[in-house]
Amino acid sequence: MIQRINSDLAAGALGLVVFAVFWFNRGTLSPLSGMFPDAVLMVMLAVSGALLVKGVLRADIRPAFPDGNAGRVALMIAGLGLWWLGIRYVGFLVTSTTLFFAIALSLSRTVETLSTRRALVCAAAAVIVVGGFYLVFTQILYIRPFRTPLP
Amino acid sequence: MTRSTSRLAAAFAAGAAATALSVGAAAADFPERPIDYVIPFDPGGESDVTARMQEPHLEEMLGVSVNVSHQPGGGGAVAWSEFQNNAEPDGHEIIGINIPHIVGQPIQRDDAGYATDGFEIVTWFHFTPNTLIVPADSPYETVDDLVAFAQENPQALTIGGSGTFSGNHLEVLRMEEVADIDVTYIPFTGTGPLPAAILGGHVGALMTNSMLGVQMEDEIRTLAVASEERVPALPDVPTFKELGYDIVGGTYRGIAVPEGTPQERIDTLREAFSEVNEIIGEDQVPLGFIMTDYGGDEAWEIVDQVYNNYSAFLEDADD
Amino acid sequence: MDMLLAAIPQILQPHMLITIFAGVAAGLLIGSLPGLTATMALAVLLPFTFGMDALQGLAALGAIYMGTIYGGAFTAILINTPGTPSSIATTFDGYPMAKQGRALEAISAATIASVIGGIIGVTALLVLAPPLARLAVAFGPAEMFWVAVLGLTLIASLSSDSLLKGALGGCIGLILGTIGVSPVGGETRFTFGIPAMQGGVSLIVALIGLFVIPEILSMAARGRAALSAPSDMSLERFNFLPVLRKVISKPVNIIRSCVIGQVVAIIPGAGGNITSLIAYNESRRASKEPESYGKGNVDGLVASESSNNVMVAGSMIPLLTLGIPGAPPDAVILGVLMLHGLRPGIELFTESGVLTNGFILSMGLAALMMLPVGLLGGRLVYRSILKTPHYFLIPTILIVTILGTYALRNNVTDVLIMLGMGVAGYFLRIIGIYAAPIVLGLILGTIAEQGYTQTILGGMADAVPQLRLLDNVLSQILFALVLLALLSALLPRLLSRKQGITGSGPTPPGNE
Repeated sequence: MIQRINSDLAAGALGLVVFAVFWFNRGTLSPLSGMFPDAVLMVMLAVSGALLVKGVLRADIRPAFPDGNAGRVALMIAGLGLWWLGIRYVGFLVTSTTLFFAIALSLSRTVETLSTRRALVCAAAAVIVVGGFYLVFTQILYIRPFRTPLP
Repeated sequence: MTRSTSRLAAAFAAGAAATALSVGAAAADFPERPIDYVIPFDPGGESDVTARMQEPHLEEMLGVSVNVSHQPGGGGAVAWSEFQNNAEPDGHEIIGINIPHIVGQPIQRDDAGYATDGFEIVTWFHFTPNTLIVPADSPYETVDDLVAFAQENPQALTIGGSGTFSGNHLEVLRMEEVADIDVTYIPFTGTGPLPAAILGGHVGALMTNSMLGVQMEDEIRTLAVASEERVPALPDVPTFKELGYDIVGGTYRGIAVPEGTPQERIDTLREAFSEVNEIIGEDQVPLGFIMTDYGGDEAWEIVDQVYNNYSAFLEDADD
Repeated sequence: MDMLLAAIPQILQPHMLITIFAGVAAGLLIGSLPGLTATMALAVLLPFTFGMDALQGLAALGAIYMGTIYGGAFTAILINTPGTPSSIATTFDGYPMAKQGRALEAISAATIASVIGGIIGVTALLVLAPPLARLAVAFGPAEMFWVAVLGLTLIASLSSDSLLKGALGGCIGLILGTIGVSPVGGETRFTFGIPAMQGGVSLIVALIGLFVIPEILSMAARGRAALSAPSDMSLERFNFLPVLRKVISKPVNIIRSCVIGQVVAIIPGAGGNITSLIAYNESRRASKEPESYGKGNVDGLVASESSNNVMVAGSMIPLLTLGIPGAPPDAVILGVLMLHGLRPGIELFTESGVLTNGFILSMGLAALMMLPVGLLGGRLVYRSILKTPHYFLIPTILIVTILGTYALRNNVTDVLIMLGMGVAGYFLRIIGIYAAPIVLGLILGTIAEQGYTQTILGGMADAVPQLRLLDNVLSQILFALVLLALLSALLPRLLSRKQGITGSGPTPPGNE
């Protein structure tokens, strides 16, 4: 696993990627609409180039995962991805309650061992929090529920 | 509560009388749950203010609560495309629609995400004609003064308005054609910044809706209004037609439901909105609105009219 | 003056006091939920005012507005999330303070600053409205362009870590801001063929994504909550008076921030979004110990919170006198005025002067009520965040964030954008690209673009349209300020490089 990262090279490369994504999706724009994004993209290209040069000459090396456990971050991100897919198929309430439950249970392992009781507490919290906020938003604040097949 | 029930009864009676068969039965089980009224713009704009005025009266007449929510973005297109793709055609989901937006955007954009004829129009409930406004200390006393200056100085006269290929912009394009002049149109985001633009002298004139003319009466001069007849709130302002310019146009606001909504529910809604119009007209007419009630084929005639008048400009823009 | 006196008894009636109190409390609650902005709070609570008369309705909305802007400070301090854009700068010092166990001190200082700011804003509105209104209309397209550029120079001072990375962050913000319908020209740009992208990347969506998601990801990585209970000072023994003394012992800081807040507030369109950033930056620049900013300096927090609460009443000046909404929430207030058949303008101060003065005074009262409501509410929120174990806190914040983002524009795509930007923001933070420059680019890009293209359009008939950018005195002054700001941000950097000092430099604000 990568322990340290050349942050200048990484930033420069990222700048180039963003530049490319926008530059090749620009399509045809009239001068009035195109002037400003073009100028920004050119500056971005220049800044990215400068960062790449700096990354070679005077790199700023940093730890790649300053926060501790990278695995938990990966799990969280995966969870968010699954949530996004899930709301289309089983609806917001079910997906979100599951996500809450999964996050709570897996993070609680850092302080307590897994047990049936623990799982029940997490499940109860998931139902209360997700259900509670959902009700507050839809019933009191009149926010229309998500337009997905199920609530 | 008694007042609201009697109103309700009155609304039903009127609905039944107006639309003959089976309406009574249909009206009885519609609406059965709260109505979602989507405003495709930010809170605070004219569409929002009007919806807020309508809300309590609609609730009385329909007997269910009416929830106004906002889904702004893309000049309305985000909400309209989402609505056409997802809304249930059962009459409980209604959305505010505007002319010329719903005509212009699908022509001008490849990715508008909705089609003009993908709605069922319930009614166009009011109209705000475009007006030509100059500061009170402007050298232009009449439209002719302004046209004379613009003819001698191409592009030098700046006219501000809300948005690009909006009603304001299209009207300026039409004026350029009719009066054979070349002016510079400067778009602003919405009507909000326009008073500052005209008072600060950042533009020479404004092409804007009639409300601004009423609201800023003391600081500005309204040269002409683009309606068939004079606007009640601006009795001294001539129409473009009176002055010999064939310019009629503005913004219609209305209500649409998804395609496939049962006709009797559309009729119930239209009935409610036209009754509400009677009530809120007392407040809106003095502000510069013209109340209308165009449903069914009449509603589409208005769409066609706008299409015929302006589609040439819009197709130019698409190239 | 008579009208002012006539208004006082009206707003001191019990039902008015209760209305204002409830408004402040409701606003505070909503403002402290990430994603729920002042505009939204006003829009969703508006129907509750239908049954009220004009004064009571306006007072309720004014109180909600005040409360929401202030409520944004809570989440800024406690979970590093600006509840509203106007409290971005509050996170810079507020969150470090909270992490040092000084959360209550931060909340109290923010409360005091907000109350003072609110009252100064109301006073300015009462006394200076007509002359300041004239200033508001002086800002045309060219001036707005320079204001935006001036704001962008903040990137240089906000990114003392690496100027290049700050600039890249700013560019990312600027280019994200171009997604959607172009302000001049009306074409859709960079929508990647998705209709929902016509709405562009909303500032709040980006704000929530870039601030909240990285924070909860790193909380998850560390496996514990970011806040720990204060060690030296228990909750019960926390004393309010020393904080008060500390805050008011630096009157210059407060006054400077309030003046900045007032001036920025009346520039229509610039809105309150950047007031706190400018005030924060000036406070740091004037400070004797600028290196302590971003590490929990209470002065930075005070600068941010006092300036953004001045903005609430301050932005009412162009609204009430000219009908120009200075900030987005003002558009809702304008709508309410219209609902009640009131026309903005001088008549509002003459014919309906009692009503208008009553409304203004009620905002002052709302500002005062923030003191008890805020101090009690702040303690409550703090305690509950402290007592909740991190494995419940993280998913709770996540769910509220998702709902809040969705509620903003009833748009599911916004949620995807928020989560995507958040995850990206986490990794960007690791390589040294922070949220503040990106958000700044996003706020100012549209203003700069619109100002520039409108100015060029206005000069279509000239030989060189660009000259219009420096056409008048105000734009020249602003241009000079831009140069000054750039010099003052870049010179020290160049000098220190020449002297061969290779230290890491001052810690950039808003970083871990």
